[in-house]
Amino acid sequence: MVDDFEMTRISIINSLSELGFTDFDEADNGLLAFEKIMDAEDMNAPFDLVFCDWNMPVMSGIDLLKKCRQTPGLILLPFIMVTAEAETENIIMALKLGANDYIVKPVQVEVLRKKIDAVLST
Amino acid sequence: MVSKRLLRQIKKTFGEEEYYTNLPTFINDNLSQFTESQKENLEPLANFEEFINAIEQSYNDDQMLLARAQKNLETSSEELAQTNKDLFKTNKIIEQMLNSLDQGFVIFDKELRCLSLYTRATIEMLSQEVEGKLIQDILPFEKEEKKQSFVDWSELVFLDMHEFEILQPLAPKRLFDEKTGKTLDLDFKTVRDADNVLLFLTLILTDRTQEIINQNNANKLQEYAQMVGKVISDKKTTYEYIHQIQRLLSELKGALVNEDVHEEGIVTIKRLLHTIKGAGNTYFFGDLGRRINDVELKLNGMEDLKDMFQLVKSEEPNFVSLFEGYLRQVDELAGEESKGAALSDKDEHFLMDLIKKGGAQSFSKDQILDELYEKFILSPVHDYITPYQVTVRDLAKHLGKPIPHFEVKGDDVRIYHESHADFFAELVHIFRNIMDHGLEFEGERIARKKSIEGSIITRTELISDDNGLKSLKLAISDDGNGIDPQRIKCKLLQREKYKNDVDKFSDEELINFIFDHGFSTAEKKSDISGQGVGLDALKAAVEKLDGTIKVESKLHEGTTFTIVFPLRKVNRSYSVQE
Repeated sequence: MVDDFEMTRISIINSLSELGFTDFDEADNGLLAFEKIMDAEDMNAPFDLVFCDWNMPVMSGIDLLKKCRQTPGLILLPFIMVTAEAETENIIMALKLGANDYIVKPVQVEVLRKKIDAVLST
Repeated sequence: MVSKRLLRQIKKTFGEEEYYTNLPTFINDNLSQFTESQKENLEPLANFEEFINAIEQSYNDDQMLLARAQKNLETSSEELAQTNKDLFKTNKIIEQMLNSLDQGFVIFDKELRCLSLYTRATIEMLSQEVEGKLIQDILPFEKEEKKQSFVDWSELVFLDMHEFEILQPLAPKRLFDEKTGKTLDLDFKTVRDADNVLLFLTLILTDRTQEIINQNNANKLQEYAQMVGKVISDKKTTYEYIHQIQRLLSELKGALVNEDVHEEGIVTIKRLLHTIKGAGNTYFFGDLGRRINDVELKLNGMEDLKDMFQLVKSEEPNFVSLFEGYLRQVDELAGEESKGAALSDKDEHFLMDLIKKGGAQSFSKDQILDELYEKFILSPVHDYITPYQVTVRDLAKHLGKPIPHFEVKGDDVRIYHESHADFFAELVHIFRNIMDHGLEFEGERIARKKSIEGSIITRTELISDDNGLKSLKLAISDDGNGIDPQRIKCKLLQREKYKNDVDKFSDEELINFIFDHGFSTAEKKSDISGQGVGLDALKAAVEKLDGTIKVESKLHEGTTFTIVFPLRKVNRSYSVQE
């Protein structure tokens, strides 16, 4: 869960817990997230799914996505962008760059469940 | 639902090439064969979906016919044409589709080029031929960016990397054609071949113009009814609003006199527009609010100060005439005579009592004047704040947020109306900001373990300093989101003027930047607040009263706006007959 706004992270993590997920990690910017993703790869315990905000200090969500898509081993890492409603252009750009899906804030548990099922089943 | 099956069937029936090149011709040929009486017998279909279902039904029901058509694929083209004619002759629904002018479709390929498979209604709606043109060129996009975004979207769809369900919500849903005044709803469907390869996109267009007009009329009627209700139930507040708007409009006129345009002048004009819009919307003068909103949107897209000035100057008479229209309505509703100080029974008793006392010499003239002044010239400060409960409730409904608890507490000091009316009108920006950015949506409040409804509490306090100077302190608190100093910091970093000093500011100093001109931290510009105009207008009004305004906030816990201004010694210039 990558977001610089703690409340968004907490709210998504609460929703994930509600859906029965137990193992997650957080980062408040793209660079920290990238380091954690790489560490997890090295330890042979890769992440199944990344939720990623758009605007963040240090490294933005779109740059994290680009970086992952350019890194061997992370090309297929499932990415769901977490966005505000009005960001249609950004969403289209992220999807073109290889994001698997997006979810609009405030995140609703049912929508989250559907999106996770869809992304993890492909 | 435009079914792939249907299109595949059409394709099978007409063959790979011909299925889209010849279909419209076939349909048109057959139309002329209907007699007038036959046409009358056709049942109108409610919508496109029903039409498509009916076509599918008719295909399924008429397997024989289909089989015949398919068999004929192998025979000569002349016979094929004849069979197709037969096929469509029985298919009366085609006629209805072509005559249904409020719904049509056009199909385009991955080059975004329109095929010749479309209906006449499509041409009517778009007011042009579509065949062979690029889909983005025939749709009436308001702005170049929207058009580009649509092209990006279409390209993304044809990349076919995502489920269409994921991409569908990102497509434009409604377009307004400024040239024709038409409102068109857009719906996209994919057309795939038997191997599930994406071939085309079908755009289904629905003309909503009449519906929107009806809806707007209904809304206006409702707005009018609400206005009538307000005017009748609270004449005093109504005339205060009118006075306020009148004053602001004349201020706007004043700001438009000097043709020597400079940035500060435009800032003032924008702020005035925003305040007039706010006051108009609060009081259900919806047309005025909408007209100004349109102008604001145009201004946001403009760069040249002179152009901006000219736009507002040319629009200003329209604002005035809309306002005068309302004025006439209000006068009709409230009655001309109520404009003055109509006395309630209670007031009248008070006055009679006072006169009796005065007659009995138990009061000095000054005392009587003070009493009169207190009673009829000054108004209790709470009377200026409580009306915002309605504003808050309306905003909550509009935003889909819970309606907060609203309370006004403390000393109900009486103040002089004329000198404070402007300030209390600008106070709307605080309540708008609280509703828009402060109080959270129900889900967020639950997540933060707060009461669902939230609260807005205003405390008023009369304070005296050592010299006996009296001031009024107003503290408006909410238990909402709070203001994040980090966000303000990010904003300041984007400003040349502050970017090198950002780290020198304390959190408290940072959040007080919200009163600066053009400051808005909201990601999405809403029609409520967030245009970056508003709190600065309030600050200006407070400063006019020689007062101060500050904000304190705890992230995720709430925000308190504190305003202090001296109560003016009133200059009693009225005279009393001896």
